[in-house]
Amino acid sequence: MTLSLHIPRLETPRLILRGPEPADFDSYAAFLTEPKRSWGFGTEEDRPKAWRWFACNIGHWALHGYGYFTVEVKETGQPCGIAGIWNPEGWPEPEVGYVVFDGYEGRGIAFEAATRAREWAYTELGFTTLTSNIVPGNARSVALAERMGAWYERSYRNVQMGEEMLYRHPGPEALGIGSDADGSPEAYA
Amino acid sequence: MSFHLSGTPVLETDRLTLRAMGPQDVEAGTAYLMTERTVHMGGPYSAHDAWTHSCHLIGHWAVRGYGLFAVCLKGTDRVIGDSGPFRPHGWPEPEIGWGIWDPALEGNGYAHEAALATRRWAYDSLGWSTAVSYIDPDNDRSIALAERLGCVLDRDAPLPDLPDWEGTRVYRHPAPAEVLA
Repeated sequence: MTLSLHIPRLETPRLILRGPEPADFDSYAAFLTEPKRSWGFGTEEDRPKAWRWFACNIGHWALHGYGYFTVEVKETGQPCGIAGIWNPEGWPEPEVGYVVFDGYEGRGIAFEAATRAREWAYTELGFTTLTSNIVPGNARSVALAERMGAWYERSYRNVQMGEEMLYRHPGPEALGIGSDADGSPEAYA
Repeated sequence: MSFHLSGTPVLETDRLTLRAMGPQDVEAGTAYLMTERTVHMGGPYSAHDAWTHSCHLIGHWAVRGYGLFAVCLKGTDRVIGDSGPFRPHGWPEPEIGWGIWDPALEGNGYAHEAALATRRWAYDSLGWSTAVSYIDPDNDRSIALAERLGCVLDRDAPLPDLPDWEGTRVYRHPAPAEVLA
């Protein structure tokens, strides 16, 4: 049997979104085990648990055909964050997720990466709607979701994170990146 | 594409086919991890945790180039258990793990048959020089299987530095020279 993982490489003006690689683990672990940074994403209590999350994301890709990309700064090649589409067991719907690592805030990186991931999901995966789940009090994440055009829809209890606010993103048509007339997702070069 | 996993191994024994754990095994793995059968390995898990644990077994193959095999009865591709080399982050030594997921299939020697094959593969193809199995002291069946596999209790071996692991027993497998002879 062959376990194939077709993780695309997406570009934005400043960033590359690509599949996770083993060498990324240290930057993921630093983020995931630092509660001050990852409390709104899901903090892992130690490096072994962070590794489990890292490996789970790869399995998520294998199962769903989508998951979290490693976001890399084009100019330096350094991993600067995580963005993608996340839908583990128990999630209400697939969501657009986004975080930036220490030292990369305030540059619009998360917005640029999340917008590209959302566009990919609409054009290449054929999604017709997407959400973002946000822990109450995570004002930065709310601001980013609203900048992406998303709006608060409801609150619910997430199986991992507890109480969360579900933000609804505009659909592909509203963003002008809808499906073709034949219903198939538009190719994106 | 960042991981190259084509050509993952397929092992054959008298009664079993062993192949890399894949996405087709997540549903059965999740169901198994939610049962009392996993009480000796941190279970039963919630549905979410069981699913993420199952997915991470696939990622383990991608990151390490090896991992737990899905144990299937020969002629089927339905997973009935897991077996083989396992070394997530934090393990001080490589492990040989095993489990029969379907209780109706217990007691047939499948776990033994699978572990012999996957251990041999770990020694032969991965070049491991030693292997251990971490076993809960209350897991009588697993201890019996370790002993049947020729393992001996190693009281000096280090444990993974994880919460709630105190008291876990380390069974050391016979060396490659004994197994591959």
